[in-house]
Amino acid sequence: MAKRPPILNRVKALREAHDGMSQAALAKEIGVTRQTVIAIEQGRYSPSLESAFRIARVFGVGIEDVFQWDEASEG
Amino acid sequence: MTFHEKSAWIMGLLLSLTGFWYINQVWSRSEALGETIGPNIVLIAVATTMLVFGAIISHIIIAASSPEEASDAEDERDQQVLRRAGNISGYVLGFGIFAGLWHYYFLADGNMLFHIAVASLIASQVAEYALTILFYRRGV
Repeated sequence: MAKRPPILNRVKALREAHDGMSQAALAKEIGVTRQTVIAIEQGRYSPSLESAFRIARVFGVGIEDVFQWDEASEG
Repeated sequence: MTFHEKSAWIMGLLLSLTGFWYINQVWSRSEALGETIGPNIVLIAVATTMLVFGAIISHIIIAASSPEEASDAEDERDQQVLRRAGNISGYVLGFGIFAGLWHYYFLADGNMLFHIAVASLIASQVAEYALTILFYRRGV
C-alpha cells in the first residue's frame, strides 16, 4: 500500500538555488499547501501534471529538469 | 502535519471513544434486559452531543494553534487523500450493512440490525480517519 512513486525530483535543490526560496513561498506560487511541497521533496507525493509544470515554470526550467523517472526503482 | 491530519487524529480519537461508550451502553443494557434493546434515541442524542461538542472545542484549539494552516484550502494532495480514504471506508460500511442484513435474514432481530448499522457507520468513519492519517504519512 502507498508505494513510493518511481519519480525523482530536484525541487529542494532548485528551491535552494533559487535564492533559498522557502517551501511556503513555493507552495504559494504553485497553489498547494506547504505540507504538499514537503511531501513532494521527500518523494512521498507525485504532483499533478499541472503542478509539475507550475513548479518548472517557477524555476524557469523544463519539467524534466525537475522530475526524472527513477529507473532503479523499476526493478 | 496538515490541518486535515490533525483533524483526523482528533476526530478518530473522539469517535472511537464515543462509539465505544455507545456500544458499551447498548451491550450492557441488552445484557441486563436479556434481549437486544431497541433503538434508544436518548443514547444516540447523548453520543452525538458529546461528539459535536468535542469536535468544536478541539477544532477551535487546533485552528488557534496554527491559524495559517487552518485557513488553507484543500489542495490536490488533500483531495486525493480524502477521496481515497473515503472510498476504502465505504467498503467497511458496506460489509457491516451486508453482515447486518444477513443477520436479520436468519434471526429476524430488527433491533440488532439497527445496532449493527450504527456500529458499521462508526467503524467506517473511524477507518476513514485512520486511512486519512496513513495516506498523509505514507503517501497516496
